[in-house]
Amino acid sequence: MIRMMEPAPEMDTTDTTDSMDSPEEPGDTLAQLLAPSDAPASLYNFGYIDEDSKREIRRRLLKAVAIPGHQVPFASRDLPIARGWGTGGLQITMAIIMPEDTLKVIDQGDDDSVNAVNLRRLITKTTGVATTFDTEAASIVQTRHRIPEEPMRPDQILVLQVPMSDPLRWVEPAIEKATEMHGEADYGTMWVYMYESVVRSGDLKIATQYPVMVEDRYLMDTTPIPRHDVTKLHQAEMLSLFGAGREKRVYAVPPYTRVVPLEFEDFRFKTEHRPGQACERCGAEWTFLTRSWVTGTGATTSGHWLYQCSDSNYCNQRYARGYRPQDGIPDTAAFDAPAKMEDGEGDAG
Amino acid sequence: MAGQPITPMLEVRDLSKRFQLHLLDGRILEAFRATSFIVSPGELFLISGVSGAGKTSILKCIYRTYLTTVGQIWYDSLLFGRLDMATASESTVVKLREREMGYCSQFLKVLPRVSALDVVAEPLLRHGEARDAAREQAERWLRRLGIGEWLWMASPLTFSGGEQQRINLARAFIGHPRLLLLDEPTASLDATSKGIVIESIAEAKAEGVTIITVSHDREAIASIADAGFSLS
Amino acid sequence: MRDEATWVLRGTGLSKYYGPGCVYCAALTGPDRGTSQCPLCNTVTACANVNFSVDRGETLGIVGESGSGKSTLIQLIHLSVPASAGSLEFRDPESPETTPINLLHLSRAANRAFRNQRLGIVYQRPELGLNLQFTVGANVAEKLLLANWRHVGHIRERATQLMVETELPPERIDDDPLTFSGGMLQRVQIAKALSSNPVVLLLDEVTSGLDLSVQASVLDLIKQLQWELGMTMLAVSHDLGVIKHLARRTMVMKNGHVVESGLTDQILEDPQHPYTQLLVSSAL
Repeated sequence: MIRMMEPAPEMDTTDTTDSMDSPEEPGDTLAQLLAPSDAPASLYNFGYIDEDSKREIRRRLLKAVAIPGHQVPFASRDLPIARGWGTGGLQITMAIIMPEDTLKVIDQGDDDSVNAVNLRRLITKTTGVATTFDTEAASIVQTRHRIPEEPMRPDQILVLQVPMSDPLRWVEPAIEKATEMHGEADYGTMWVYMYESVVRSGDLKIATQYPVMVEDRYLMDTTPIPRHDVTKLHQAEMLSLFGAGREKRVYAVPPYTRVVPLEFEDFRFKTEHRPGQACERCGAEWTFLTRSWVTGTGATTSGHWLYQCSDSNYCNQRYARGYRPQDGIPDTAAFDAPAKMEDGEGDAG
Repeated sequence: MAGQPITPMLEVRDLSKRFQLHLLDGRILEAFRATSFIVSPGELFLISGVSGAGKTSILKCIYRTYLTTVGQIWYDSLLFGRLDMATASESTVVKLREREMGYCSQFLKVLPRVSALDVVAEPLLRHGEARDAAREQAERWLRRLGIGEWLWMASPLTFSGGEQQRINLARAFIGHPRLLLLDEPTASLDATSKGIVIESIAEAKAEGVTIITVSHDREAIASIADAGFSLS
Repeated sequence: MRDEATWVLRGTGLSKYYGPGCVYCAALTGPDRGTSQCPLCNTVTACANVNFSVDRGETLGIVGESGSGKSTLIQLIHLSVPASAGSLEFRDPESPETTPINLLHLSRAANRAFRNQRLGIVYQRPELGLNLQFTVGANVAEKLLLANWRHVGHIRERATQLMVETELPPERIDDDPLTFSGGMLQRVQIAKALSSNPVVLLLDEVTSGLDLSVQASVLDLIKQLQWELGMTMLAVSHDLGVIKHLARRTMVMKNGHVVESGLTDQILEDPQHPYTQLLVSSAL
């Protein structure tokens, strides 16, 4: 979302047991929380995690890259962030980040949501790397549930946060059996599930975590990205690394890899796009849109749904360059967000 | 041609059958012993004798339901030539049963709720014949054996003894066996049924079927039998 | 002596042991000893040196009580459990002159392909043969999807056809299997098994546990398959009545061994082995 929300106090990354600071008083003001922390960066190892752990993660990542789509188990470390909040993606980023990297963190396409901010702050506090909102300027993009609209380059790495790493979880809850199925490329049950979905709802009604075949060998979970983003993985130029902290698995899609969504001959894979849809802020007709409710401003305007690009940075850049929807903006007040965070502001480092 | 010896259809030599009853401490029970006879093609051969004398056992040895203890059963088959049923392989026996040899037991054994029509049609269906063609033939045989049309769709398990036996026979005849073994075909039948049954046996014989029948009721069949013997 | 020309499936020396085994296992287990478990090493000899063969279009019955090894034998033939010893040869009835293949030596992938496509199996309990979280139609279609059918319309058509052939109401193709009765679920299993046009159909106690009235209709359906499709089958049952109706030849098993085998009517009317005599005399 474009609008910024106040981060919850518990998410303050300076409040760690490893910190040698005195614990901050509860009820800090917003300004205090946003201010750079007193703790010197030298108290943390570069990237928070110790070097041996990083090495293990990198070795697992190498194996994952060597076997596209195959889930590689790894020893997921404890972090100052709880499971379910991006620890998998975070561990990958911490393991691969170098001082000269430029980091972008997004959550559902937003750079300035609570989770994105907190992850970014933890990373920058323990590494000191530069950050950016601009996809094209980033060397590492850590994301939750979206892939940026701009096509990424071979010198960039996309790190995705994964809730459930095994696409077979829906059809085969027993881990041993599912592992066997992956090992033997025995994905018949998943096809039955797909068939069932068509038969029950009249079409392939799988909204997110769409199952794909990687290099015709491994069935892979694409994480809860919209179907719009699934096609971006196929023959992509960038390296995509997927990390599931709670599930303790990493997997990877190296550049120029075939990533094909499961589909039937008479029921094909479709993205969410509907003709005539466009962002009501910047006019883009090809991006993934989200909507928010705008309350009416009294007698003249009733409340309505507002459709905007999910990728906030993409939309901002277009807006800044003067792009508008063809019919004009219905209500500019919706876009005048208070104290909107600019690029790099509010991050430690 | 005159003077030429006719190969017997069946030549039984010194046949004996004994059962070993392991549940009764291995007691030996003898069904019959040292029996020999010859059946010529197209003959109606009658084995008679009192109940329990082992007549049915002889038939079952020929059909290979019983394993022969001692002796030989030389059968002149179309498929394999002359062979000894007592030592023939299982698959040989199976093929002979399918193509050449028919057996009609004393009691009708069927699955419940199968119609009389389908019971009679079964041997043809087993051979893969189309259902309609098989049923047509079954209808003909049912008519021949005097089973009223109103009974055709009913289960034979609801019929009288006589009707059941006629269904049994129809099922045996429909396969057009070369050698037909009949076990007590007229037992427990009323006079009318008996007459129909004997008539159809005679008709089959007239069509060239070789028939070996077992009966304790001599008079009924003796009139049409060509040869036979009595077991004591 | 078997006629060599027409066999489709032939097992030689098939054995399955659960446990380390010792030199005394053979002597201390078996039908004469009345146990399948070796008292010295606790190894269970589920199947010991079983030989059998099935001709094309024939139904072989396997009879025995619990613990006889009949279900283990079916699992070995179904290639879902690896055999400890022996060979299982298969000869394609469409091309009988080709060299028979030993199914026990297939690679995992070939094993799975054979099991899914060329064999069909129907279990006593539907939850073993079906995936109850999917609709009836999806269950029937499973083997088609495994064989890479990718057209929903065609799949559905074939599934409907199979339901009609097994006398299931085709309009219930999208129903939850838990709304089907036991007998209907057996038919669903049969429809599923037939979907890949298997060469051999394995029936593991298919009518046990069904209501009697339903048993007869399921047996009737199976007989139709025998006649109309000429399907080669192996049928396991502890019920001699069922075996009598289905099988042309029968094997009797006890404690993992085959104690007697022969034509079904001979087994039932002139049993030679003491155990067979006991079984036959105990039938209701």
